[in-house]
Amino acid sequence: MENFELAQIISTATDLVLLLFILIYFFHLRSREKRLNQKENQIDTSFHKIVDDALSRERKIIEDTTQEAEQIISGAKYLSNETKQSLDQTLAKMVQVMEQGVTQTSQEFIKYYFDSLNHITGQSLVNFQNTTKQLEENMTIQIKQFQETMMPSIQKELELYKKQKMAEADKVVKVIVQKASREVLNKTINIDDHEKLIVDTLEKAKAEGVFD
Amino acid sequence: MDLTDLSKLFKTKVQADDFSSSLDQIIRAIYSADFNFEQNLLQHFGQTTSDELLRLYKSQNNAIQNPGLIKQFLEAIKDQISKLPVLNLTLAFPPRENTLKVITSWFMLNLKKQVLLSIKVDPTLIGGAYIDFNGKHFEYSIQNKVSSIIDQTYEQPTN
Repeated sequence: MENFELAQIISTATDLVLLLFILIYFFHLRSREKRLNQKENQIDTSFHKIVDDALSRERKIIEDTTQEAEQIISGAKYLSNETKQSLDQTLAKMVQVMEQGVTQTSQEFIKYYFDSLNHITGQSLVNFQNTTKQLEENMTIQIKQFQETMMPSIQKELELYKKQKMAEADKVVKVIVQKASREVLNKTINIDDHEKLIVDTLEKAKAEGVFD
Repeated sequence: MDLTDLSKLFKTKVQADDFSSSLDQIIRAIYSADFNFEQNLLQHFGQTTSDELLRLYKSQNNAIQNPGLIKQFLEAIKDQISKLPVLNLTLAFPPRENTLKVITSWFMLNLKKQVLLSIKVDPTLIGGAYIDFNGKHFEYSIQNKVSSIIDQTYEQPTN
């Protein structure tokens, strides 16, 4: 029984200690949160201040820049107008000079071209006449040479060819005639005639001195 | 011994060679115990040639059973055959026996000598003959005549 009470006492004491610890921890957390909120408010205030400063400085820079740019543009416009006028004048002068030059050159060129053409025409005519004459002379010489050398040679070759062909034809005809004669005479000549012909041959051979 | 005309026995070179060969066989048999000249001649040459040989043998006044004289006679014929001139003849036709006789007779009659004929046939001659004798050549043929006529025809100017 005593032990049971002791255990209850110890349990209660433990619960109290735990409760106390929790309360202390809660207070600690609460104070920490407050510190953090204060710090956040401070940071927020300084951030806004910095941003405002930056914006005001930016606006100033933009204004200064715009003003400077306007000054530059107005200066440039003036310079541009002046330059353009000067350039226009120069070009107009150049065109005038060039027109004059072109006119003069064209006239000179036409004259030169005309003279040259006249010269070439005259020269060509003379050359052409010379060439034609030369060609005629050459042709005459060649024709004469052809008649003197080539023509007889060609005629000779033709004659030779003709003779050759005639000889070939004659040869063929001779063979045909001989064959025909042989066919006819072999049938016509009998054995007695053959023997007489052999004796004639022997007589002629004897007369020729073949058997001496 | 001159037998003069053997043309009744052979006319061509081929016949003469065969004849000479048969004579050799008879000569080899002369001294055999049962040798009979007449029978041997008949056996090798037939009746006609055999008779002609016997006629020639007897014309020499030789005794029919004398082997030495028979041998001498046969060798004399062989010797004469070897000395006969050869007439190379080209003819247009294959000669018959009478043709050979005509030719050999002509030689005996005109030149008083026998020749051995060596004959070739060439129908392109048409007629006549080509003769080759002792290195000499002679031609007489219808073919040559025909060729000559054809050549003359060609040579004549055409109008």
